[in-house]
Amino acid sequence: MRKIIIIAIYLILFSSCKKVPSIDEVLTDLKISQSEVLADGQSTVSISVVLSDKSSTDRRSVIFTTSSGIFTSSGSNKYTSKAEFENGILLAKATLRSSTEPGTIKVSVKPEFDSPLNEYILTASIIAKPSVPVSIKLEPSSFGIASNFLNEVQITGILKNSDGKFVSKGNNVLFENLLLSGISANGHFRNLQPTTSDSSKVGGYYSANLYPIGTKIKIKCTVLDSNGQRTIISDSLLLTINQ
Amino acid sequence: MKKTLAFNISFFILSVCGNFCYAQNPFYSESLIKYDLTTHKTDKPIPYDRSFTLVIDKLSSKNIIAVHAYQAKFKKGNRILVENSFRDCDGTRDTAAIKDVELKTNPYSDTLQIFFPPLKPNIDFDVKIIYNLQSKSRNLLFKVNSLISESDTTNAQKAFSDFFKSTLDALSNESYCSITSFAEYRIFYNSTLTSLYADISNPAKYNASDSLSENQITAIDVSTSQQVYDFKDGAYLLEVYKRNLFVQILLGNRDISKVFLPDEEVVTNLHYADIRLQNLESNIKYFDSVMKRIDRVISKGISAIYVRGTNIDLNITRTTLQTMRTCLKKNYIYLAEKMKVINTSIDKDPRIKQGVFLAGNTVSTDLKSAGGNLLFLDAGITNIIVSGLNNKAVNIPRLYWGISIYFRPIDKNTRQNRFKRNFDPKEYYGCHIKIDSSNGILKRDTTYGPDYGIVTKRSIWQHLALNVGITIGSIPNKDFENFYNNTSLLIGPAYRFRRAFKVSAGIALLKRSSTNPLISEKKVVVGGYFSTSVDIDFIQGIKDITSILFK
Repeated sequence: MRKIIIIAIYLILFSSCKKVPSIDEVLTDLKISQSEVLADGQSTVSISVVLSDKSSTDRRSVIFTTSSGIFTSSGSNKYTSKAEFENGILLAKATLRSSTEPGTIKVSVKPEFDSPLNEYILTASIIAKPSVPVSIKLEPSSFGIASNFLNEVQITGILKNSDGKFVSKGNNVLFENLLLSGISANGHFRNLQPTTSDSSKVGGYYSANLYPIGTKIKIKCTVLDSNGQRTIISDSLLLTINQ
Repeated sequence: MKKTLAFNISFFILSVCGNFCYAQNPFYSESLIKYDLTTHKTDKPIPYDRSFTLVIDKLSSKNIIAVHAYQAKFKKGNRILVENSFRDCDGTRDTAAIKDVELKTNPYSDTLQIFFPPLKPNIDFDVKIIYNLQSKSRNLLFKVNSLISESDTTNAQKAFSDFFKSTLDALSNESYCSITSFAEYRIFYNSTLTSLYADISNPAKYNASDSLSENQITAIDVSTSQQVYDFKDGAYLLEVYKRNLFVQILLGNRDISKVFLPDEEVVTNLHYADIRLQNLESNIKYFDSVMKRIDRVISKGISAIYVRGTNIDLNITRTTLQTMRTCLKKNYIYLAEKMKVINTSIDKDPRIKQGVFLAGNTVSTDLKSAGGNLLFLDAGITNIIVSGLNNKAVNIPRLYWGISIYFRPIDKNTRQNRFKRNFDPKEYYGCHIKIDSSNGILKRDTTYGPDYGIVTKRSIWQHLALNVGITIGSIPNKDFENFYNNTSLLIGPAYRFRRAFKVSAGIALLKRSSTNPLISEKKVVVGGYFSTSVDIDFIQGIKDITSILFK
């Protein structure tokens, strides 16, 4: 009788004990469409993860998180995606847009509902390669300018890579103002931004020195390499003194 | 100090034991139940687990040898006695119905009152009331004996058949006389009664020599009719004289008051001791009355009377009467002693008995009452212990309702000290070995019963039940959920104590969150529980009281 009671107690205890599920029983197969991406702020990467097909209908959401870039659907570095069946596989998807900062992007995915027993997170890395400029295009706010610093013309330069997309953050350029004779026009740049930002732009506000009306001033922008040396990539425009 | 303590302990034990024994006394029956012998029905249902007294108005409590109860059962529509299989002392395996209990009767009651101990539920039983042979059957058996003594075997066999039929119960057609054949009885007769009947039928054993003369008879009639009153029965003596029947009268072969009846109706022979005793009794009375009459005459100073030219001395006549009466008395005493021995021999033999059969049961008559004796409602508090998600024990205390399913019908109003733990005498089925107290030698004896098959004994089954409970209300711990419809299920053994209270422990079924974060459905898990509860009837009583107080 005593043995029976002890066996019964053991059975109850063991039957109520539970197994902590492994990560494979929750999330598997985190896939990234490409392992490298240009850090141009425009390129995208498709990410998908497979959920256990035993998942409850109301528990099929996962949270994607990225260390850099944004998810196109949420516009932020977090995105809650609801998994759906595709060809019999329960799949949660997200699209990551790269940032303009080169480096390693860490992408992670976890269930929306936390488990008190374990952390179920899958991670992957994407190399964000620098987006190198191959062209620059200068745009003035006006082609006429007053002499003697009476007004300013906004100069904007857009750098593009070989695909015509933005370049990575941190590309430096050199702005110069020259008379047609080749000597410096001694104008003044204000609020100059010689380094590219997220929008792949450089620029500033330019005001001209005292010159007679009709004088032409050449604004030239040359892309510098990582050592600060001029490259062959440049663009220029002419401003005319008109008052 | 130690002596005082020992005395107190002894007193306490004796008091408890005494009360226990006293409580088992049949006079402490809890109810009276009347049994109608004509319908074989009781006026109310026979209870189980309660002692009671069965009153049978139409039966006498006198001359009862024993009252035995046997367990009965129905098989293929027939009511039969439950048989036990046992081994006799000679090693043979035997199967027979063994008495379950020997019942006591009230010796102070004119009507039969049988005291029953608490009986088990759902049993059928037969009660056999065993008497010594009643007068009708006994007289028939005397006739058998007389015929055997006469060597009239043919008629003796017929007479035995009549005797055996007289012992049969009219309804059950059963007999408690276990000598069922004449041959078997003849063995008993030969071994026990032969010499007695030889003496009874031997004329040399009696005095039958005296007689009265015709003149003496006339003198008695004339003198007593004149001096006392008319002697109407005087003609009996004259008839005896004329037919010379004095010897028959003195031996008791004839009743003097039936002297005018045809001989074939009234004359018996020496072998019929029982009839002769009746005749002698009648004859003694007659002679007593004659002597009283003649004494009245003599007391008036008349000592002689003249009859047919002869002077008859009344004193001599009285002496003759006295001598004849003495003969009658001696013969009567001799016969009575022989009959006493015969009766004792018959009564001593356990096979020659007569019985009345009663039938009873403690079976529920309908399903509602049957269920009411098995299922009881409780309310109480339970603590469910179950492994939590983090593998630590979680305690979930809840109120609950429970149904106790007993494994046998229960009268919850009975107290367990009403039931015996051990029976005295012990259960005997077959070979019984005991030590003879006089010489310390093992003695083997085949004993048939009692086996106490129908008597309630104190056992675990009066307290053990299967508890099926459901908790009340939702579970506050979010990791858990009730098993079904906002209730969790509790199943386990329960033990009843103090009639209304119960403790139970077993398994609890409830739902727990999945450890897989992708699964929202809670899974059924098994936990343990411990509960205490109270019978709902008990709570109802408290509720009634509180409703009065707080009205």
